[in-house]
Amino acid sequence: MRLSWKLFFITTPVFVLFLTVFGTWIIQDSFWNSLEQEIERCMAENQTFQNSYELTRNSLSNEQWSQTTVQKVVESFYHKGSAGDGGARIYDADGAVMYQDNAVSFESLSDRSEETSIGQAILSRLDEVHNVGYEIAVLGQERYVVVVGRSSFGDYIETMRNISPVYARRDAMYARYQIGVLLLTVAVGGVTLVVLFFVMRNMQKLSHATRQFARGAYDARVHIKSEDEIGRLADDFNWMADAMSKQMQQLAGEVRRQEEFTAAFAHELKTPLTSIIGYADTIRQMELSKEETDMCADYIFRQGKRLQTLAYKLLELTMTGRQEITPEEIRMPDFLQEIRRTSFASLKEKRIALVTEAEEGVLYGDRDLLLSLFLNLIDNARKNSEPDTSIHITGLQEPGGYLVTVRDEGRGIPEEVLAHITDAFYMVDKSRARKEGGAGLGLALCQKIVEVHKAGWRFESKPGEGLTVSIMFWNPEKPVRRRRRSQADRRRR
Amino acid sequence: MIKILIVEDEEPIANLIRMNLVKAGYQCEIAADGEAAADAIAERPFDLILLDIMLPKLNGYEVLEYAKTVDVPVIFLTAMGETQQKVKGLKLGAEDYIAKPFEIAELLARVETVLRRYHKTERKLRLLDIEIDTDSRTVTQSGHPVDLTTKEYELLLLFLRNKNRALYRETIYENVWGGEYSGTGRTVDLHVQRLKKKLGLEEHIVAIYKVGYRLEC
Repeated sequence: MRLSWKLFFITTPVFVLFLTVFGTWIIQDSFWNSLEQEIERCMAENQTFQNSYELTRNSLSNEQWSQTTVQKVVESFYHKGSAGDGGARIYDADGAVMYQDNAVSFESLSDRSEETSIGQAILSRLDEVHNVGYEIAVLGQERYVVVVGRSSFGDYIETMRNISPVYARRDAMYARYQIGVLLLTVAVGGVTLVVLFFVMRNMQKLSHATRQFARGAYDARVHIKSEDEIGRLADDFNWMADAMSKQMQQLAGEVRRQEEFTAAFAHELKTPLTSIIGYADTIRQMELSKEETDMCADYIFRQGKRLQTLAYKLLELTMTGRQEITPEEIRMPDFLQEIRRTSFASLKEKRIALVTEAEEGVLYGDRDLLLSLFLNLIDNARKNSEPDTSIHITGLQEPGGYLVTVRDEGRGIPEEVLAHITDAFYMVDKSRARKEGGAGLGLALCQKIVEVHKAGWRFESKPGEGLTVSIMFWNPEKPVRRRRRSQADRRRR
Repeated sequence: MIKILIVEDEEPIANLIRMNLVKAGYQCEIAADGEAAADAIAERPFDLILLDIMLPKLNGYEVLEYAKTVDVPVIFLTAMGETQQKVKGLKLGAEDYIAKPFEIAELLARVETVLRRYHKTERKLRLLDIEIDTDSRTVTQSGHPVDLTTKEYELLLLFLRNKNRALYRETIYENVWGGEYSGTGRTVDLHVQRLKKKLGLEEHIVAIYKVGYRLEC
């Protein structure tokens, strides 16, 4: 069962029940008050009647009493009201009626149990202390209050009054109240349903969106303009969906990059393998001349070397950034001397000069990684340069950091491919790169190193004008811990 | 003489293919990029093109369009071994597909199969007094028909295509039977023995110790 129906079927009956009980209580209470008042009035009436009767009879001398009748005595002080809703009767202890005026026969009135006559029932309850009693009698549709009092003469004075209006009022009130309750129930039920419908419609929207999202429609969002809990839930859902979509896009991008990398890697792996397997296969299957065998062996050797470079570079690329680096202070320009020493041999071979010019300053980073970074950049510059040119490294102290620039005088890189040169396996000129023994991973590795140092870098180049790589090393926000251990070592020595 | 165009930007691989195709008796030309290949196709007639997909300037699929205009069969030759790319190449009209890295025997077999399909090769192959009709797949020796099983026939063709070339047992198995060679079965040896006996080739098909067999003539 839907929640809205559940709520409807719970609230409405509770509401109706409460209204009925409470209403009945009020009406009944008011009815009892009216009835009590009516009875009080009847009792007072009986008392007045009795007093008048006794007073009149006492004022008469015995002589006068014998000459008159009770009828006349009563008529002297009592006039039967114009309305036919009441009456009086006087009878003696033996039950002989001495006066009677009412239209309704007292004998026909019976109490609710209908066992004895009303008069008898009341009389049986009278005692020394209580000389007056009452009973409510029913005659047809009418209801009467019958009061019987014992006069000091031993007569019984019985008065009655029609109290049907009190009952009629109560019944009318009930009837009106029932209509009221019915209308109220319909109205409240209707309002409840409408409210629930709106609330549940929002819930359904939410549920619909959730199901869509689960089925893969990741752009599914809920549009609920509401400040209530459901509105907030919808906002939360949208927020979650946004976050998940974003994550999924990131993952998809990651997967795509991974696929591209894998495809490029497979190509780079299979190409040298094809040569190695093919030439080896040729040698083992055919009778070849000495020259041919040498040529095959040379190819196998070179392509094997190429695989080796690929494997090492790839390993380096994978390992870089795996562990947290502990930055240390690296003094410039001293560090450039280290770079110069390490790259000297390969540059000399191609007669390329390394021109360094650096201001005093400090780089914060991992010494080995930074050495690898600059050697790779120099290597890259060397491969792009003709013999008898120079590679320039300049260092500038900048506010907030230190800027290092590596510039070559090589053939440069077209602007449209600048964005791709850090992609793994990307080579601007594949055949040249092959000849120089490149695997297309150097700048990808540099990118990783720059990233783990949280440094920024930029490439500028025009074909024929060489490539300029600028790297900005930012000073750390927290002061770098001095190399305590090395100092301790020194002390120990 | 059959002319084959090798379109491959990796010089060692291009050279490898040329060396082996030349030894197998074909005439070869190398194009190192897509544009050079397109020019060559437009200028000179070829019987077959071996085409790499990842090429500078024009890629293999684009070169294939040029090849189709002059109705030259094309075998794709690429490191991208993914099924989708194979399907794409074949859909575009390539005759066959060779995934790198490949073995020389496989390369030669596929080249010959495609050439035969295009009736570029001799329909009748000859070896001493044996004549093989590749259309009807019948073998006759000195005019008398010789009854060979399918595998024996395939084996004979493999030897003929690789004259004077040492054929490893695994190469024979993979080319004739297909699938991975386990290295233990005697299937290859049994079939070679039977073939030698049926055609009297005992002196020409030479067993090479620990390797396999070679057809010498």
